[in-house]
Amino acid sequence: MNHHLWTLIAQTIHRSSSDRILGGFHQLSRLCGQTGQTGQTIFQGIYNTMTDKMVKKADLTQLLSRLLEDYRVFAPVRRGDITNFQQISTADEPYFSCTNTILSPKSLMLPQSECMFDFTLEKGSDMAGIMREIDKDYSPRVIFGIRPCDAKSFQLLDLNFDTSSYRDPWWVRRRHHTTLVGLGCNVPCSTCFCTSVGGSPFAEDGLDLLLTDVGDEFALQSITEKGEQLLRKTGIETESSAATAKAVLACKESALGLMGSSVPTNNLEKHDVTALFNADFWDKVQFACINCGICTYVCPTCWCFDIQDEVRKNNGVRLRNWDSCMSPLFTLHGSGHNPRNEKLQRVRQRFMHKLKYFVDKYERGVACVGCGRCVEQCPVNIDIREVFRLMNQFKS
Amino acid sequence: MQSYRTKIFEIALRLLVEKQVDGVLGFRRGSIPMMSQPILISSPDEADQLHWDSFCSSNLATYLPRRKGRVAVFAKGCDSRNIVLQILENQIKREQLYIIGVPCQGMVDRRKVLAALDGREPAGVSEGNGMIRLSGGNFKEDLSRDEYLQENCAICTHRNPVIYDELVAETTNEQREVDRYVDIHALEAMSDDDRWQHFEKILTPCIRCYACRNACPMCYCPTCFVDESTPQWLGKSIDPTDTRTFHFLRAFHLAGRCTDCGNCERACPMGIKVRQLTKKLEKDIKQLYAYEAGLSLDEPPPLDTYRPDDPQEFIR
Amino acid sequence: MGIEEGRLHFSWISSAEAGKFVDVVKEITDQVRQLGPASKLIKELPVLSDESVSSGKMAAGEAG
Repeated sequence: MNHHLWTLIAQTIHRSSSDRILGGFHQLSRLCGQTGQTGQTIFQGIYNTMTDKMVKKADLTQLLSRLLEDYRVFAPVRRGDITNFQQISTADEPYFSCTNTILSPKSLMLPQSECMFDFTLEKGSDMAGIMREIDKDYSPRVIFGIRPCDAKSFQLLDLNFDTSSYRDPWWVRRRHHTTLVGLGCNVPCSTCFCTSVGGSPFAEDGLDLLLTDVGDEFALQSITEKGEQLLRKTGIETESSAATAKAVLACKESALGLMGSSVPTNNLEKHDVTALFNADFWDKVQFACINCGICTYVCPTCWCFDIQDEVRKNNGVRLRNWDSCMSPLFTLHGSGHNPRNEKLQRVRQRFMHKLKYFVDKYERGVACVGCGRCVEQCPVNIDIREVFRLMNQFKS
Repeated sequence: MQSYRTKIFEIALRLLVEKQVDGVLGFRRGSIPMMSQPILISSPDEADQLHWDSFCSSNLATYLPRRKGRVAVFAKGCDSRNIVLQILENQIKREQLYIIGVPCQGMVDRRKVLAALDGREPAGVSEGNGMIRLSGGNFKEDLSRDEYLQENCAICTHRNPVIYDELVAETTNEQREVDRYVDIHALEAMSDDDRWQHFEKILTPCIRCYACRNACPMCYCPTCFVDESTPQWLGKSIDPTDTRTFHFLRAFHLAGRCTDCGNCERACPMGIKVRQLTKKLEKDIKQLYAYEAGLSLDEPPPLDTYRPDDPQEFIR
Repeated sequence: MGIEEGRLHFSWISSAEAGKFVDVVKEITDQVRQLGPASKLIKELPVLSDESVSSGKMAAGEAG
């Protein structure tokens, strides 16, 4: 094991009892063997028990009311059978009983439809002929109750929207002005597999603050300076006790044991990309697909968009909408040629992108955080977990 | 309907061994509870993958338009009517199909069951004696099948296939005492403003994923009107006017063609009740032309036909 | 749908029925003018400036 990991273990020994360590090592080696992930991320998820504060569940509305004074707050909300992240105006709106929302909070960073510029040709207007960037509200916001998988997805999307060559100004500003308050998953869904793809139910990647539900209370653990700032603004003073720390650890360990699914990823990197592209199994995988686009829209790591102008008489806007590689139009050239005219080509493209091209290009693992939404929502039960297996165990 | 499985296996095996078809279009058991996956098997040793239960709700006719070769397809009542229409609309030829009719007692609505479980995740699902048996980590729950049918199945009046080469089982009784349009009557009684607000509420969550359109066996246009660009008919954003236009224009395109198979509502990730639009048109077509979609190959759809006595009081 | 009566009209007019065309157009124009400006299904330029109009927005009303 590497040096860093030993340091973490040493720190933990000071805080926990020895039989927890033993139990932890068993967990750790089992998970490493299963997933091929380094122990580091998983370990961090289990053993970083540096809890700072705690708040009684009954006082949560008070905390949220306090936040609403200083931030725009977005949280999971439920209407009927639909759960989604929305801006809240009162502290009693959030709904935390779903493990995850139907739609990911991706739309809070990359809105599904967003007007970027407007322009006019009105004679006499001093803005005539000028494409003007539309003013937006970049006042501080909080996304409260985001799950670790979705927080990690923002980091993966950063690889596309915030690079050394290109910085999407809207994306970058939104990321900058947003504090992410995560909620760890005590009971992952049967379709969750975050631990197989570099995450964990209590991972801190991308989060500023992490909440753990320990029964009557939430433990609040700050992770970044932004998180510290928010914690100060809440006015919560109660330090968390040793008992809370133990409870948090218990939650984390139990969650790992309850992880719904796992997928193998260890061979994806080494497979020859052309051989994988030409594999026989794609025909079976693609058959049921109806190319609807649900997977791309509920997925927290799908980032494709389409830019278009809408005009009315002398005025217009340039807007950006989510687009989907599932649509035949997606690769339609101006000449009329379409390199992905067939459904098989489109279905293969999506999985090759997320599980192979992305792996090769960014060396950060797959473009999937294991949230399971596509598995749950696909109307014809195309299961990405099965595709992981087919791709990973592929023999040319 | 569990007993169907044996017959399904038999039929598929026979058809493939005797090379009567190039493939058999059916379902296999889903990878998550209460789901099934449409599959196309092409060799006899795959026949044991075929499955049937109360969650085989997808309309397999969706996979037929412009298909080449000869294929066997499992068709419930609604599915078979869609096949009739696809034949009439020249999307597939009758000779290409070996239709295996499946008399249906209705499909169970997965989301209704999950809502009843209220957050408890089922690990195992089984059926028998009109009950759905669910079990999970620390619970067991038995639900009466009839109370959890998909909404379209609850009011279905054509459970038996109208066209088939072979049946999987004896035909089942049809529901005769059903008023299919209770909710439509309520809508028609509303004031203009109330109705507008009603549809506003229904359509607000739409994310324009087009799952409803893609799941529909009758939406097979090579270029859908929403994808046209010269000229562009409507915007692609989630603007409420564009969204509403997409939905009601699609419903109009289905007038006289929709068989209320429910695939659209089932596919929608936001649970939007799109059938409230299509059922109104179904009712109007029935009243104006005394026509129900896809009941017979001898009856062309009314909007494809001219008769001198076509109702026309609305034309001045 | 909820669009008020009087906004949508159908008529069958042959190109040889100029007189009828004029009458129908006059009638419809008068009727629609009386109804006033339309307020439903009007497409304006989208005003989708920020994420408070997030995807899958749920109508206000019954909470879960």
